Amino acid sequence: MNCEQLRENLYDYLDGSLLPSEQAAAERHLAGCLVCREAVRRESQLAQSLSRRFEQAVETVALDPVTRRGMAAAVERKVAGSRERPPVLFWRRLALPFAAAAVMLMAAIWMRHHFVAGPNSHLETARLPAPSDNHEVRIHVSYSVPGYIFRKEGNLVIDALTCNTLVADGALLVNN
Amino acid sequence: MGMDEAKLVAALKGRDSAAIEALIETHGNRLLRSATLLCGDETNAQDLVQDAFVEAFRSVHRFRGQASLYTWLHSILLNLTRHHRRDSQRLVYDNELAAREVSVLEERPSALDFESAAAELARALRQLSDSHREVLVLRYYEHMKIHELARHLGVSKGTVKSRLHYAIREMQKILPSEMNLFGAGGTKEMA
Repeated sequence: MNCEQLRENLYDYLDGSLLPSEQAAAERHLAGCLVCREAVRRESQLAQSLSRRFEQAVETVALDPVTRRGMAAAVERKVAGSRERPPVLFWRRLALPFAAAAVMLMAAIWMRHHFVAGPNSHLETARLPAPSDNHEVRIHVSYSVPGYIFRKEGNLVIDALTCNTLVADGALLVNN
Repeated sequence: MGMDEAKLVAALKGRDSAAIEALIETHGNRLLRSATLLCGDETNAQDLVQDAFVEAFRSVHRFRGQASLYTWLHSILLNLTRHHRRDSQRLVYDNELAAREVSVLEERPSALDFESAAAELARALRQLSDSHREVLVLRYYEHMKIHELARHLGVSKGTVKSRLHYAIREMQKILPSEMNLFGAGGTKEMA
């Protein structure tokens, strides 16, 4: 093993993860190389130093018994809550926007009958332009569609919920 | 997987509520400390740990025992921490700006006491990139070996070594000279 190979395998050497033959080769190289021995010493010192500082930084961080019990209860409650909730099927996600669009359409039709073509309506004369053959009722519907995307990075799945707003504009020509 | 751990996993799979308490008692503190180092805030860390336990209890049927229970819990926690960071990226950025402005005004003590050393370390960790912070915490707090780190992060061993190298270099730049990571033996980077 030469210096370059030892530097490449330095962490594995310190971890004891090398094969026995590689470990022996590393030991032989270290016995005769002051520079690499120094590299091993520095990495060992760094590991000790950082480990100690990390431990010190969070040594007072702890869950007290009350918090632990509260956390256990919260975990159980959340898991039970999610079990009781029925799975949302894809078509059910679309039900709400379709229902909203239907209500808007019915409202538009009702407004057309009531304000545009409705008999004896005093609003008719107040709001409508001068009599003409055609009137236009504009309909604007917007709704949000939830989406779910995910990707895999190693053994982790990173997912995200998205929300896309769809807008539909239309016009009804009303013939008097 | 040890016998006690096997029993605990079996109890969790059997939806035994006492097992949740046992799981939190066994691994709660260590996870909380790791989460605090990863996200830089104990309150958020506590929420993340709770969510990790919820996720673990929900998906314990998928646990096959290939890694230790703690490592499996930690992989859930790491995933949640990444989500959390992504969601609060703007807030963290603002806080860092505020912290930098304050540090310009404050005179740094010549010798760091324990509390300010911990604060300096937390500040340095916050300034690192996510991948550098993760690799340092996993290596030097969780004491993971290189191949374990590679599996945990889903990257190659070479990538882990490279990240470690640059993370340490960044950390040395950020930390004050009183907190020399190499002790009295010198701070010069070897070629």
